[in-house]
Amino acid sequence: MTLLRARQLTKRFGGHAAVDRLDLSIEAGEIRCLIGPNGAGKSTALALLAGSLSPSAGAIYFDGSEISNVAAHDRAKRGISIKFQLPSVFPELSVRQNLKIALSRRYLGSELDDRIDETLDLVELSDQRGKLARVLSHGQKQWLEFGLAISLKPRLLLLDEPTAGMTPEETERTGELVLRLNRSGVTVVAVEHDMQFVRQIARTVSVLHLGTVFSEGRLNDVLANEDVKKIYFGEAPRHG
Amino acid sequence: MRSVLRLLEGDQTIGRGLPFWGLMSLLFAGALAFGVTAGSFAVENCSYFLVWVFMALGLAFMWGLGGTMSFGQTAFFGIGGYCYAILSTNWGVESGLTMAAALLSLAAVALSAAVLGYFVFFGGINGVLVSITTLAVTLGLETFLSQTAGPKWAIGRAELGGFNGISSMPPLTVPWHGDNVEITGRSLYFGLIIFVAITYLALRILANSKVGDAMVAVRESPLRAEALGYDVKAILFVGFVVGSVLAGLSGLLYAGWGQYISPDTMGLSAAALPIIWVAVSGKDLTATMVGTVVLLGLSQALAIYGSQYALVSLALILVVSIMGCPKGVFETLLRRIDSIGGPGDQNSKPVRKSSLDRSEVLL
Repeated sequence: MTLLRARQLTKRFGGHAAVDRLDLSIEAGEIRCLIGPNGAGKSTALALLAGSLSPSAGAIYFDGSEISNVAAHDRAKRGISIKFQLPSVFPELSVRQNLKIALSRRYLGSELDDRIDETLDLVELSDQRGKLARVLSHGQKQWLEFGLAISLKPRLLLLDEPTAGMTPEETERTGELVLRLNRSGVTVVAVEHDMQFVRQIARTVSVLHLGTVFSEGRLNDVLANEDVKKIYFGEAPRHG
Repeated sequence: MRSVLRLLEGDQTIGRGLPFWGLMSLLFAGALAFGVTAGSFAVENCSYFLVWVFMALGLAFMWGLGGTMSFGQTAFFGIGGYCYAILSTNWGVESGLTMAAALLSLAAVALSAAVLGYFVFFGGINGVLVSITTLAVTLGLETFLSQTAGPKWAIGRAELGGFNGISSMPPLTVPWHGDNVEITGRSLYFGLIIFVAITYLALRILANSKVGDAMVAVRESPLRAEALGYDVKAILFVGFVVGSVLAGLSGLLYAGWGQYISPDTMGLSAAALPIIWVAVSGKDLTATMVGTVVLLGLSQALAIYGSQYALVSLALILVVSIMGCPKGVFETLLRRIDSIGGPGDQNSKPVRKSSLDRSEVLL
C-alpha cells in the first residue's frame, strides 16, 4: 500500500526550482533514503512533505488523501513527524521538559511520567534529564530531537540528516533505533550523506539531482551507476 | 477537581510544596489584615496598586509564557476603562447596571483583542513586529482620544472629553436588599485582594495545563512546536487575548476606583510601564504579582520623598536591578526560596524504571 506519494512536486525560490517536478512513491513499512549531492533539493523535499514549506506546484498524498495544503501541525496530527537537520529542540527547557511538552499532547499524569522516562531511556538521555537542552552536546541534541520526533508515534518519520555530527558509534545506534522503529510499523524517509548509515537502514534509495529523482533502486546498484557517480562530481547531464 | 488543583504547581510556575504555599498564605493573610488595620488613605492607595496587577499578570502570561511582548496592554486598559466610563455614565447605578457595564466592557476588550490578534497572528506578523504593531495601535488610540474634546464627541450622556478624559462616572456597585452598595474604599480593597488571588491561581492552572505547554513550546521553537502538532498561530492568538482581557480588567477597575479615565493612560510612558514591571520583577506569575505592587509602591514613595530626583532614582534602581538580575529580581529571589523549600522538581528526580519494555511502549 502506498503511504506517501508526491506528484510533480515543485518548489521555487524566485527563479530557482529547488524541487522540480518530483515524483516519489513510498510504500507503508518502507525505509527510503534520499541521497544526492549538496543542493539536490533533498532537505527542501522533506520540508515540503512535512509541511514546513508549501509547494509552488504539484501535489502530496498521504494515506490516500491529498495533504498539499494541510498545515504542518495538522500533518503531525495525521501521523507525519520530522526530525530537522539542525536540532530544533526547546533550548531553555530541560531535557525532561522538552519531552513532556511533546508527550503531554497524548498522555496525562503518571502515564505521562512513564512515557517521559521511557523516551529518555530510549534516547539515552536519562542522566541528562535536568540539564537545559542548550547545554547538551550536538550529538545529544540530535538524540533529543529524535526523541521529540518519535514521541508522536508517527506513521511516517521524516529524518533530515539524522546522524549529522554523531560519532560512528552513535551513528550505528541511531541506525538500530531506526530499524527498530521500522519493525514496529513506522515508515521512514531519510535524507542522509553517510553511506554507512544508508547501507545499515535502507533497502531502496532515491538519488535526487536538480530537485528531482535521478535514479532509484538498491543502494549498491545505484552507486554502481556511472551517471550517479558523475552527479556526485558535477558531471551529470542536465534534465531538459 | 483534584487534577485541576494539581496544576497549581508545575514546570511553568515557580513555587511548590508547603513552604511556598505557606508563604503565599501568609502574604494573603497579611494583605487582608492590612485592609482591616490600615488607614483609609493607605487602603485606597493599595487598591490603586492592585488595580494594575491584572494588567501585569496578563503581560507575564503572554510574554513570559508565550514569548509575545505586547505594547498594547495599555490600549486594552484604555478600551476597558473608556467602555466602563461610557456605559456606566449612561446607565447609572440602578439594579446592578454598573456590573453589566463592567461585563460588557470586558466583552468589548475581548472582541477588540480578538480582531487585532487575528490580523496580527494569522496575518503572519511575529517577533518584534508584534511589539511595534501593538505600540502603533496604542499610540493611535491615545492620539484619537486626545482630540475628542467638545460636545460633538459624546456617546449618549458621556462626553469623551479629549485630553481631560471622562470623569465622575459611578463606581462599581452591587444591588443589595433593594439598595445599591458602592464598592469603594475597604470593600474595593478586599474585593481586589480576592480577585487578584483568584486570577493568579487561575493563571497558574492555565500555565501548567496543556495551554501552558503549548505556549512554552511556541516561545522556545515555533518550528518544533508546529512539527509536534501545535497550531502556533492559534496559540499565540489565545495568549494575546487572555493577556489583553486582563489589561482591560485593570482598565475598568481603574475607572471604577478613581471614577476617571483619560488618554494619557495609553501614552508611550504608560505603555512602557507594564513591560518594566514584568521585566524587573521576572516574567513568572508570582514574581510579577508581588513585584508590580512593590515597584508601584517604590515609585510612589520616590515621587513623594525624592523631589526632582524621583524619576532618576527610579530609573537607576531599575537599570541596576536588570543588570544584577537579568531574569528579574523577584523571580531570582523566588527561585532561591524554591530551591530551599519544595520537594524538588521532576527534572532531577531519579530515573524510574517502568515495568514495560521500553521499545514495547514507544514503538
